[in-house]
Amino acid sequence: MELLSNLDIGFHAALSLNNLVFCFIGVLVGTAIGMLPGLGPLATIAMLLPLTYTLEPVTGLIMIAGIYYGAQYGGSTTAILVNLPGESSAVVSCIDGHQMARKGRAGAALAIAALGSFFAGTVATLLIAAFSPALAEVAFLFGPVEYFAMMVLGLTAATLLAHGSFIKGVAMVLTGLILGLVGADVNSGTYRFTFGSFSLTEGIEFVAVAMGLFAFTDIVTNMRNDQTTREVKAPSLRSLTMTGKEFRQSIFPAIRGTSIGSLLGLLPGGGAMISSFASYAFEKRVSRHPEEFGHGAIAGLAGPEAANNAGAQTSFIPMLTLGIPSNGVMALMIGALMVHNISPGPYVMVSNPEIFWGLIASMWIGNAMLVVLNLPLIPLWVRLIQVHYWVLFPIILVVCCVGLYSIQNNTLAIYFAAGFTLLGCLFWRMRAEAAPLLLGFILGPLMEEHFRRSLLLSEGDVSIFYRSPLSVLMLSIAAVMCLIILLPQIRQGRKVAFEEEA
Amino acid sequence: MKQILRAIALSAGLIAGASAGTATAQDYPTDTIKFIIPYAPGGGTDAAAAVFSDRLSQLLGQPIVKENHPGSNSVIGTALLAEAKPDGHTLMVVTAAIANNPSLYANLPYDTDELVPVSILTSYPFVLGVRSDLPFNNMQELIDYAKANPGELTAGTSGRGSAAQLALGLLNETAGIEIREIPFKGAGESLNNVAGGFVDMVFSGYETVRPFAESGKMKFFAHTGTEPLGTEQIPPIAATVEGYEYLNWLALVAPPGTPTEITGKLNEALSQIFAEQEVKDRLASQNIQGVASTAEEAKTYLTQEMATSKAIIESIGLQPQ
Repeated sequence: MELLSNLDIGFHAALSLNNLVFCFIGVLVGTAIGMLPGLGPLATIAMLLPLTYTLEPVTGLIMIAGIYYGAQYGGSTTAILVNLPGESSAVVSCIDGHQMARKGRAGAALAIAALGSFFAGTVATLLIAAFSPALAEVAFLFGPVEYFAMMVLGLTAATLLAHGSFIKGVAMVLTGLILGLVGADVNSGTYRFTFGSFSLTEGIEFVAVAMGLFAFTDIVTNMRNDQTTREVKAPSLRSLTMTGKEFRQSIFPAIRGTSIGSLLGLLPGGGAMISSFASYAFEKRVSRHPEEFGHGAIAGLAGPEAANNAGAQTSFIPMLTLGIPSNGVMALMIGALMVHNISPGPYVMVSNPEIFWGLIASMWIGNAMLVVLNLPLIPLWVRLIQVHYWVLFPIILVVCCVGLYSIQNNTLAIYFAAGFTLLGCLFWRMRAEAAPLLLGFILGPLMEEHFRRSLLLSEGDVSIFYRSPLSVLMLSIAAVMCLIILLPQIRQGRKVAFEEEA
Repeated sequence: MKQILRAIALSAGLIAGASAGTATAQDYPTDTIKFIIPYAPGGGTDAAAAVFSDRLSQLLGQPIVKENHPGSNSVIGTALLAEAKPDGHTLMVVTAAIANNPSLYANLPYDTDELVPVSILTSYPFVLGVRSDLPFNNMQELIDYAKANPGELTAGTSGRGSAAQLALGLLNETAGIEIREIPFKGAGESLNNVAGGFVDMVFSGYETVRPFAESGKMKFFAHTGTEPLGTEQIPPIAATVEGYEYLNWLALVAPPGTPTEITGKLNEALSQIFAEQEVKDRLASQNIQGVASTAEEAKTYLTQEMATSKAIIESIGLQPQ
């Protein structure tokens, strides 16, 4: 059994004391920031990235991963208890989870969320372990042509799956693409949009873009709300046990949620948030009592909770096997690998099996830690939500700025983050989601690079793109997806789907 | 909260203090020594600097801190070095890029001739890693194949002005062949593309090619030095193409106007370190040659290298921009 011997390598790495400690720190920090509205895993990981430079690569990745899936757990706790989504993927959990809490079933809701997430996490971890090696074999077939086709597919999917208006999604991807062009062009070495400044030759700092658009923008928009009246009542947590009926009612939604999440997590631009929305919509459709949804339906909590965790976990697969980030957090993980001179891609599994399998094993350990952490410590976590923003925000800002400075020992990144905060607020007012911009920023330049490299290899012959069956397949799927969105019927359906969730 | 602020203020003070030391050359070093690494943290230069910086710190009796200032083929870090006080407390560890940059950039924010090279620390050749299913097994066969099929073979490089690009340009020039250049963002990506069969060969460090050769995805039968290399006794390209030599190296550089007393002191300590068996073994296992030259030798070497690079860069057809 190769899988078993691989898992053996993985657990061997993940169970070293050092890695266990950092896994614990990761899930602890993840839960904390997941609970705090206004601070997401992307911003936190961006903040802690400089720290991981000094750690062993596998240790750093274990911590980052811990923060990411820890945030999924933490986010749902806040959603259930105080009806605030601590993390974007927990928006759905507010709907029925909080209703359950108001009916006095807060403990049961938390238990359903935690156990559903643990189940999904376990299944998704097994899926990663089982399917990644197969995917990596496929990855050996990926050259510049196939990578180009995959980027096209990824960007198309990201635009289609974005929230809200389709036109806005396209506009955001294109804006990201243009911003990504700044710096030295890989093929010719020519500088683009650097305005004669050497500091811009490496492009705009990704972390500055992410922090500005997400962390700082969230803080600014939160400040707009009156903070004094924020109602945070810790519901009584007399019992964390669910009744037999509640348990039975949550089994199938959790299994369905896990399947939906595992699939959608693989898609670029997908992951946790889309998965939870999709699962909610699905549960509502298959339910025999759709009228219960919005009033504390157990399926409406168990499904999305399992889905967002499964989605968060399987979004590691494209990153680990192909080196393609399906979301911002994965892009940061790639950055953390590259710092250690490990170029992400199918070879990581061969050249550094302890990193690959260690990370996977740590995910399972981390999920187990989360169940233990989440249930008994809830009263403590609730106090964290009660910390006032006038204490929290300055601390976050200072820590972020220190992090930004330390990336290159340069203040330029801080100015950039400030500029992107303004931009982020503008986008927020325009109700345009910023995530597609980030994907355009990362994938766009890669797409161009691979496109031109393909043509360089073929000496300018465009037919290279349709001589590869893999490339033809992916480009066709992208074309079909574009066609579908143009059909009025489906556009209507999509609009309805999003309005329902909003 | 107060404590956090105080800690931040304290560490900021420490950083500021590190560069503020004033002392005469005899007492050197009187303060923390800062090594500028003009590359991203965790890279090969960091690792190479780690081989000697701890020992150097012990010998000089002052701590050495590393500061990474990546960007623009080392230009950003070098610009910072050029502005630093010439008191030996700010130094830079840099690769051959510093000799290439004057021919690549039209407006360098410093004058390379004014910098004070302290020592050439190490030098090492590139190994030519070749896709294993190609029908040639030595340099002569490769050249014959390239001549019979002009423009068919491709080589991955790390982009404009990279050492791998120069090594390839020199090979095309001296052997009279045409291997097309495919630029990548870094050596890792070009290695993967050779192993995947999309590109034919790559010039890269011995340690980076070895795993691919062991797994059968690549073969190596030549390198850019002048003597047979390592336990495998890989023959040099020069055995087939007369006069071919391309070495990558690592140098310790000081700001313009650093007095010779200071560089002398550093040199003394460095040659002692590089003579130690442990350091020798560590470098030898990676097929890296410890050099530890004097400041004068380093200056001559740098001048020579700048001229060689200029010739290669011009032969490739790159213009300073």
